[in-house]
Amino acid sequence: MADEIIVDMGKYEVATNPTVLVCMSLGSCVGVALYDSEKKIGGFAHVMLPKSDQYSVSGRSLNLNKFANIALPGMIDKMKQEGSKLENITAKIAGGAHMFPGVECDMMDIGKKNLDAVREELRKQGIRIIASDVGGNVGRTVRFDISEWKLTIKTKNEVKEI
Amino acid sequence: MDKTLKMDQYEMDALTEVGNVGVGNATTALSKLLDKRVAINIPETKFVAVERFADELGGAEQTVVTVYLQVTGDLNGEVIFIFPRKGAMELVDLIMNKSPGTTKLMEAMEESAFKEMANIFTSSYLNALAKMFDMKIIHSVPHLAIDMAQAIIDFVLIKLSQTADNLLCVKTNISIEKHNIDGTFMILFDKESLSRIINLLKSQYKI
Repeated sequence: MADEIIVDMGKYEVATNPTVLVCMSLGSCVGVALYDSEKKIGGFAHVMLPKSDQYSVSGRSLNLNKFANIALPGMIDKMKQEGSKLENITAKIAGGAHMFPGVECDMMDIGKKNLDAVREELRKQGIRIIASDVGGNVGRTVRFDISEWKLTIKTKNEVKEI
Repeated sequence: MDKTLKMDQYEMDALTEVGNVGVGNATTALSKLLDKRVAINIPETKFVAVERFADELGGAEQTVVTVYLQVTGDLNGEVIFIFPRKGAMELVDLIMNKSPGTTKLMEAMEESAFKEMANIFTSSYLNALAKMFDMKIIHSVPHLAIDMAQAIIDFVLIKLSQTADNLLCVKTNISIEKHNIDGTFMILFDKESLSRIINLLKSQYKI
């Protein structure tokens, strides 16, 4: 059995085969999986917030990897350090739900904002999203098996693979 | 580790005391509603790292019944009730005056009963605080979701973690005598509200 590494909220992990990276219980958060199929190097980010520049983060020792626009470039750099080439990297994403359908407020929209920011950042980096399971109002636990570039997504209703 | 708000032990104790006043009032209201003795323990006030928050809820993936209410007015914050599914259904039995074990599914009626319980509890809690501080505190209607614990509440953590990696929560366990009901009531105030509470306590009670 491959080792499982839990990717905490607001963190990312880069690992090589054989490893399973896990984002537990994603609601509005987005799990961004990147994979280099040549070298079998995978990265998984548990993104909480869209962009750091919207908030005053200067002068604080805040964990910035909770933001899509910081975590994704950081994770890509780490994969490059491990030997990945950008052109071999593709992406799969999951999460970005809206857990309380009836509630309207700024924060309730955060899942969608996270998805928008993740897509924008990946476009900027030139990485293609080849599969996704996003939105809705259901929590998702996502296991990323690096041996076969597969995300196994468990919700309260079903288990599926993308 | 940044705590954003610098708080000393006195201030933490004071917040616990505020929680106690609120919970005392709320417990009386819940006891009356259920006509049962409701046991609560003294609220815990603590900083929890965002990524460890799910541990406070009994694990990230546990299926729970959650009610969320937003607090606005002179204090801003979030109220979260979390009950394991089985306990939530037993609580619904009590509220609806059915024998324990009757409710097997949370449907519209059951959800509504559970939300009403949360509503009454939260109102009584906040009323006690409003009186204590001579403030106007309002809360939203209750919203209910049944899913994995962390998934349900991650937007609350997201909201509060924009400026901090550690969140201050005032947490209480609610359990009902002779029944297998054990849930958590949690209130998280934003930073400004916490400072306001501390300042008021300092001027009123000379802590």
